[in-house]
Amino acid sequence: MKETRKIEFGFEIFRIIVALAIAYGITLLCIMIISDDPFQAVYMFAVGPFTSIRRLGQLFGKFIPYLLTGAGMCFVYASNRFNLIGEGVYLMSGCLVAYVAVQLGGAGIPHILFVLLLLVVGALTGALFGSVPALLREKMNINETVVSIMMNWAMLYLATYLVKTKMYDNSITYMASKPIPQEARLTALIPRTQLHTGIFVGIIAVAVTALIFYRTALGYDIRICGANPKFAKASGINMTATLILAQVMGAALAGLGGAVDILGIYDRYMWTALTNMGFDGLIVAVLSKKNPVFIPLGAFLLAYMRTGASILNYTTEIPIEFVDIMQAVIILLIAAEHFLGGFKEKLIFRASKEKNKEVA
Amino acid sequence: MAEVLRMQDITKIYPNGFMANKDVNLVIREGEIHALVGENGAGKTTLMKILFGMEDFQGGQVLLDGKDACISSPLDAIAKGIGMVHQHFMQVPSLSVAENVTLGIEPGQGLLFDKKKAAQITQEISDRYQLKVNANERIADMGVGLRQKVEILKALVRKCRILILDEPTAVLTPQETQELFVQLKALKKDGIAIIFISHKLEEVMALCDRVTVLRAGRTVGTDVIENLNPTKISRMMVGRDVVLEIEKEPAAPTELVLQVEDIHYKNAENIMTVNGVTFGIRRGEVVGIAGVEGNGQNEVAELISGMLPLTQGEIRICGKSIRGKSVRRIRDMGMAYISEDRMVYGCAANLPIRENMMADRIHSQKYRKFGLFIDTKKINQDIDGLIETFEVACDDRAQPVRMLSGGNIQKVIVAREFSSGAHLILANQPTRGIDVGTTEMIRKTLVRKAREEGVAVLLVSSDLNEVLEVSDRLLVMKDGKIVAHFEDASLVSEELLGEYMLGVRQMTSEEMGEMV
Repeated sequence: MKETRKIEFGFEIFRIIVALAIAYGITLLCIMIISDDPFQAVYMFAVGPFTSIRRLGQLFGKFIPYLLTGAGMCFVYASNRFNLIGEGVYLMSGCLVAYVAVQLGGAGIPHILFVLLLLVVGALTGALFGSVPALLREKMNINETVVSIMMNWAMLYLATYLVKTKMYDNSITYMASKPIPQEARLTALIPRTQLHTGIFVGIIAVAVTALIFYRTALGYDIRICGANPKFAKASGINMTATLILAQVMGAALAGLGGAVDILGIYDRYMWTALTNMGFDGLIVAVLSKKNPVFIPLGAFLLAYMRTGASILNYTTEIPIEFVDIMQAVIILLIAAEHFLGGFKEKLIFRASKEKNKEVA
Repeated sequence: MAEVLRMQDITKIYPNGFMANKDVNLVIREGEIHALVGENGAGKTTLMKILFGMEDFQGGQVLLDGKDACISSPLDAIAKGIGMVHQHFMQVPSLSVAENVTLGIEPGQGLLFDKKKAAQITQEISDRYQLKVNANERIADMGVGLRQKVEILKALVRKCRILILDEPTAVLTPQETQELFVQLKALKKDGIAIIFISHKLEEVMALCDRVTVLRAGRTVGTDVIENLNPTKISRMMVGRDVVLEIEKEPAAPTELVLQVEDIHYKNAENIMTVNGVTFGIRRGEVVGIAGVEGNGQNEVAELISGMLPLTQGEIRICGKSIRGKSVRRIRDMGMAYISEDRMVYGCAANLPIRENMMADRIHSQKYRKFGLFIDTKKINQDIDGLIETFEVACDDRAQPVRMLSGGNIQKVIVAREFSSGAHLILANQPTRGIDVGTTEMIRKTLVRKAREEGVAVLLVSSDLNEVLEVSDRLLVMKDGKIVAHFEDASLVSEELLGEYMLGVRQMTSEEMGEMV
């Protein structure tokens, strides 16, 4: 049976590659059809992110928050809850972090301490707001998806309200907060790019997530609750506590993501629409198949596609919505368990037959 | 006699790589009762699912009347004269027998359903084969035995020539089984070929004309019943002699571990499924609860384990009440629970053996390292030890449980529950649908736990052989009540037990005596 597991694993990789190839194929075909200069467009989309240091930095600017929201949604997804609070929490945390940073700016707090404090504010914001749908779900059995989606909108407007009333900068013409003080901002690793020190926060978060998943009792509990709640109950696992904790930790990581993003890339808080970063975190978690070890891979893949899309958007006439279609195709193909399933069965069948021949 | 069905060199491989059938051959003749026997996991059910069009297969041929028959779906199978009675009945409880039987082939004109005609058709066939079913009765009001007859009726009304019965006697009392056999013999006289799947060799000897034995997905052989006896068949099934009798020394029970006092339980449909049950178990003894399934035994086990909330009555483990305690706390008091449905409550199929074996003890101080982390080395050591002790056939501890066979999944579960250091082991249908080898291991371990380690064991089972062999004392449950108590299970016959299970007999409380 060892053979079966090898085939399943090898097949998983093969399937992702085929899914990517098909999705790219569809996109490229469409680009060919609608673009006046298809080759330039294809080039920009596929290779664009690697053509300059600035663009590569742009890719990392997305990669860093994806590490954090991906790890966060991994907690939620592994416990089999569809809690989408990461989306709203990301923005709320960015808002509150900016607020605290502006308030404490000029107080002479050393850079490292200031940043650490702000990261804690971000994570706490996430945990605080994230605990609402988690508690409602686990204590009162109210659907977490509905609560989290409604809260996402509430948080967006709450953040907008805060900007308008408490943080607004009169000296500029668009709606944004006062500038975040320089000593609070994460330093760029390569000057004038979006690759900043937040990457270390992201890597540490992913490592800690993997550690919790595979080296603590909580990780075992989360996976067992997610895989079969009835079995978890019969084994005496405290499901309420485990699932609340998993969702709150997931939201805290998403909050951390928002904090790192705002301190790393922006000079003011200026989000007036949902950022999509929380949902993207879920995509990263799906791509990495609930296994934190694969999060960097999933995060990089998504960051690469998103960056290619935005480069395509500002260098050619192809709209960015178009790339969303391709992403949807990829995610659909990867998430659909039975895509190419018949082929996998044939492989296993053949291996099994041969093995039985050897035995006979 | 003419040959009606030939399954030739059938090979079936499941998507997880498990080869359920390998070059299996089965020939069925007109008007015979053909037993298909084998350990669980030997491939009987798979073979029948292939015949009934529920599973596709990768190699071989199915021939009906000598012609290649490509059976694509159950509907197709029915059209070709094959009927199947499943272990779990496919019925609509709120409808009448006639409505159930004619479901999908309703008589009538256009959109109108001719209820009278349906009842007439149903009653006619029921009477012809003396199935004693009233066509106008509601399914919900009927007993298990009769509901099974309805399943047979469904096949007969659809004019089946080959009738598959998948472990039909598992849910029946001995008396109901006898009645079924008489009726099956009547069908046989009418030229209908019957494929009878069973674990119970005495039944096969009493009923069948020929026997085909499967082992590990392959055909061991086919022979007429005159050339066989139960010992021979069981040797063919497992390739060795099986001691189905358990040898054990007399029990020497000491202090009380479990006290159950007048418990009641009302289920979601507001039915009192447990209605005043009182008994106790002492260290060193095995107490069995027998009964036809669905008479409250499962609820009793679930109440003791904490899976169902205790609302009325009292349950004590080692003198302490479990009322209001979580499963975790009850387990900490020394309870281990092998649940009835292993895929739902016993394991997480997608997770590795490691997680499944550690589910109840991962929080134990024994596996802590540096306060926060778990000691992976120690965990792996212990798991490898359990895999070896319980002879779980697997690649390694990281293999997902879903890739194992049923018997090996149950081994993973019992390895966990038997090694938790419990004072009280609840075994709820621990060997249902499991191969003979694993069954024997589980039964022996239950007895050994009681005798050598002084564990109190509660065995809930609908397998009469099992409760009689393993138990020291025996209780019988019927309609949520205890109706009989035997001080010495080894003195009870299956027939007598059957009469209590069926409600033909009932003990007075004086006869039952003290139940601790």
